[in-house]
Amino acid sequence: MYLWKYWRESRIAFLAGLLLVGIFLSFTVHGHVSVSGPGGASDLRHPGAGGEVGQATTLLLLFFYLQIAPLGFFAWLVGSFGVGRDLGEGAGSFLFTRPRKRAVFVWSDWGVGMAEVMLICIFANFSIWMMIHRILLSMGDPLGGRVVFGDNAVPLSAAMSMSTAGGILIAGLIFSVTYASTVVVRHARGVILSIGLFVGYLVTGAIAHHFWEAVSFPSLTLHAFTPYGPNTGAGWEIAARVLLLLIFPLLAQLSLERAEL
Amino acid sequence: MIVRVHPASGVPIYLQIESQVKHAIAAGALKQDDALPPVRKLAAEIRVNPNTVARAYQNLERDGVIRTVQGGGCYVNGQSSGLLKSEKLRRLQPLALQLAVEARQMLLTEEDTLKLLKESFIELKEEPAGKSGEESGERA
Amino acid sequence: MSELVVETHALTKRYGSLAAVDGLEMRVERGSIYGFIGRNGAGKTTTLRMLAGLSKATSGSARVLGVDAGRDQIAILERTGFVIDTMLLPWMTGKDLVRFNSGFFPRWDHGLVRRYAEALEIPMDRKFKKLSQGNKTKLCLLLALAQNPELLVLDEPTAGLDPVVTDQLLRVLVEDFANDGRTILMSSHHLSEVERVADWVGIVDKGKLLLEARLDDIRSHYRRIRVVGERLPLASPEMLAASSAEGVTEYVVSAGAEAFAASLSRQGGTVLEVLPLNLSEIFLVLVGKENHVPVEVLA
Repeated sequence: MYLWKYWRESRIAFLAGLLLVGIFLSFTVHGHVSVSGPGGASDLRHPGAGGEVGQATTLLLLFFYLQIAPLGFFAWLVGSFGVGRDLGEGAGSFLFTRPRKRAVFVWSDWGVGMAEVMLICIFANFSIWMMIHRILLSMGDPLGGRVVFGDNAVPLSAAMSMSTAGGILIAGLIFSVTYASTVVVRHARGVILSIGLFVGYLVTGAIAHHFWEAVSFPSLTLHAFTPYGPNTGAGWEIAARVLLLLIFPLLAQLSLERAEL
Repeated sequence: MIVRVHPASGVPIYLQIESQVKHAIAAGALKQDDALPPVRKLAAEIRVNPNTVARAYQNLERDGVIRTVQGGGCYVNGQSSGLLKSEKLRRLQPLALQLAVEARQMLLTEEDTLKLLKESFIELKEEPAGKSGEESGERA
Repeated sequence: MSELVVETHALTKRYGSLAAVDGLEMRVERGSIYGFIGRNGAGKTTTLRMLAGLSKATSGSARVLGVDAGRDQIAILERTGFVIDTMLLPWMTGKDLVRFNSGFFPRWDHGLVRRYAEALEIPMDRKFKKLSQGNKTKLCLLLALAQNPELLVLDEPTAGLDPVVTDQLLRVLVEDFANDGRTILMSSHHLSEVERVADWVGIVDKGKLLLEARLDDIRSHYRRIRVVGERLPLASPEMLAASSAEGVTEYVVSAGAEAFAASLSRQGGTVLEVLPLNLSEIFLVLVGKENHVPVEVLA
């Protein structure tokens, strides 16, 4: 009943997100394949690699960083739904005279939104996984389901899992910050605040780094890959990033609990 | 039975209802053993608090004008309701005094006043049944 | 004394130095219809928002159905139907809203939904944002009624409604809701409706409750006495107001009108008339729009 509300509000955005990701995927793969030529020699080979298999890695990495755009956009869009928007539309006095704690509203919204974000991320990554898998097969799969990183042959599954984790974390962060912004601002236009926060963070980081090279702000994206493969020490970083993205709905909850409506 | 109340007249609504019921009975629009509408139905029809209607009905029952039956319905009592004549006179006495006071204030004679009273009785007898409800509403 | 479903003690709400609600002492008895009346900005909405838990009191306390507002608000919200703004989720239809709202209330009655939707002629398939103001209000009321609450708190339910819709609303409230120990607390500045259905009224101005009384007591005991005369008394214990204009002095008293009129007569005044007051007149007297000559000047 309340979860259903969020889904109903956001389902068009969700379907649009699937479509968006689909388009993005086909452009990425298509673009990459046409640049490097299927099965042919190319400058994108990794040295010491099994030639064509190096392309799969490139595609994977390309995808990993490019996915931030559509996934992030979708996450930002979905962050505009929920109680923040409802408050902006004047429905606050109705919602908050229902017998539920205000925290329940926040976490229900966040939960459904996060689930949608995760589904889109998994869809995107899974699709690329399938595509890369097919490319490998078309080349005879010389490394047995593995892709090349430097001198290592890493299972595709490990690499794709890391990519999925990275996608979920950055999209999740964008969603959490955006959702919290709409709640704090008590209006759907909190999404603008969210853009401001991200841009501000990046710009400040760039300026700080420019003047003091030693200073560099933590990256917004997961450090998922080293030149030798998926970052096996990423466990702590993943945990920290999960905590980070939980802080925002918590802030939203606290803000709402103190609010005079 | 349509009762019409005037909430802004300053007269308590329950009193208005009581007096209109009594008037309807006196004029013959309501006869002995006729049923009064249930409290909520009347309240809904005239858009008035059910507590108010309930109070009016209670007072009417206390005055012997109506009776409630075990199933919950209210019925009109016979015109001579079990009260002693002396009690009935006692109840009417304040109205009589009021009439006398007002007449005295306006310097009307006893004769004029008694004539007025007589004419009222005649008017009651002449009111056709069914019309009295609305007319009494106008005058209330 | 009947059980109180709402009671406030020194309830105060300040915004900066302005007290929107100022030491309010309100008592609402179970089973009554309480008309909470006042001008715009008198503090009605602010008070009701505090009862609903949307807003926190600066000081003082409020109890609803025996529970402290703000402390266990959920318990209050389960048993009370609040209609504070007539604004619901704009993209939902009536049916959607019923489905949505019913999930919150175990005692939800779908039969009531059907009945009220018919009685009030609400189009249940149209999105809320496309409804007229009258239909919006009716839908809000439907949602509150179908919840089967013990107490209904309505903030200006008839605001902006035409007489036909107002009448429909009052009928539903009176016919279906007001009975068996259920209570209605409604704020309004439409005095005629309050006068029809309320048993109690609370008159509020500038955040303070000026009068809280049974409407029938007001009708039975409050009187306006018009007198001509000189050197008339300055005050009487139950006097609410006195004024003088064009040779006629008017007193408004809350009790003992007959005795006071008689004493004025004895002192040489000629009592022109002793009139009852309706709610609108009492309101104007208390809220001070009628001309007042300060009492000391009367002699």
